Amino acid sequence: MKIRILYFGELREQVGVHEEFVELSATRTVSDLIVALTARGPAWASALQTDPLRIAVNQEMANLEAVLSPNCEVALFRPVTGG
Amino acid sequence: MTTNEAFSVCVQTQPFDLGHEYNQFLMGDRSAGAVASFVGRVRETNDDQNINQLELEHYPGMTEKVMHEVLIDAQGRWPLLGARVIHRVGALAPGDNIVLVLTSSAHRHAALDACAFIMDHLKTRATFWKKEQTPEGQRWVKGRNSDQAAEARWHAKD
Repeated sequence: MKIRILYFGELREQVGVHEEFVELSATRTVSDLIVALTARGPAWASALQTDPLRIAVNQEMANLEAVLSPNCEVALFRPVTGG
Repeated sequence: MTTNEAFSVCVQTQPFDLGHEYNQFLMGDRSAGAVASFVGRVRETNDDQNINQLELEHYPGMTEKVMHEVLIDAQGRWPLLGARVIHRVGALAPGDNIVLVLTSSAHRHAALDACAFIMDHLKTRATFWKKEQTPEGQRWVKGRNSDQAAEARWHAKD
């Protein structure tokens, strides 16, 4: 299935990508997706594993167990700092 | 910016004027006996560093959705007549306004408490991120535990 991934803030700078569309086969959960992204290399592993990670699926906060669906939108970022 | 909606949110790069927004928010209303306002601004120092510039980015779509949800939560707790939030993004300088919260109600406690509630929840839920430019380089602002505590006080069990 195809999903859209968005990266924001510090995480966006660390991985060097703001938006991408990826085709997934065996991936079912956010956790599976993180494992796949981590395998891209040291920069990805470092960005996704060293600092606090926040996840939104279809613009709702989600956790690693959240199940992905075709054409869903996953966003990855650090804790928010607005206001 | 004009709106007739009693409950509204806006993410914008442009500055806002408190007096103008106050008048637009009330639109001649005579039922609100109390209006509370909060303005958040860029400080010239943060964590012992001088701030040259603050850059704010956000998650378009989700940010507005979350801010609306916060206003709905506030309406569930207090008899509000209206609420408006404006949050700026882009490059800001020390002294610039970042965020405006306006609330109106018949009486003051609802307006004041709802204003604080909305601000505390924007801090922890709204999808904004700040990056500071300092004389020693740039750095992303970290989330503060005190902000989590400020939100949690609204949800403490009696």
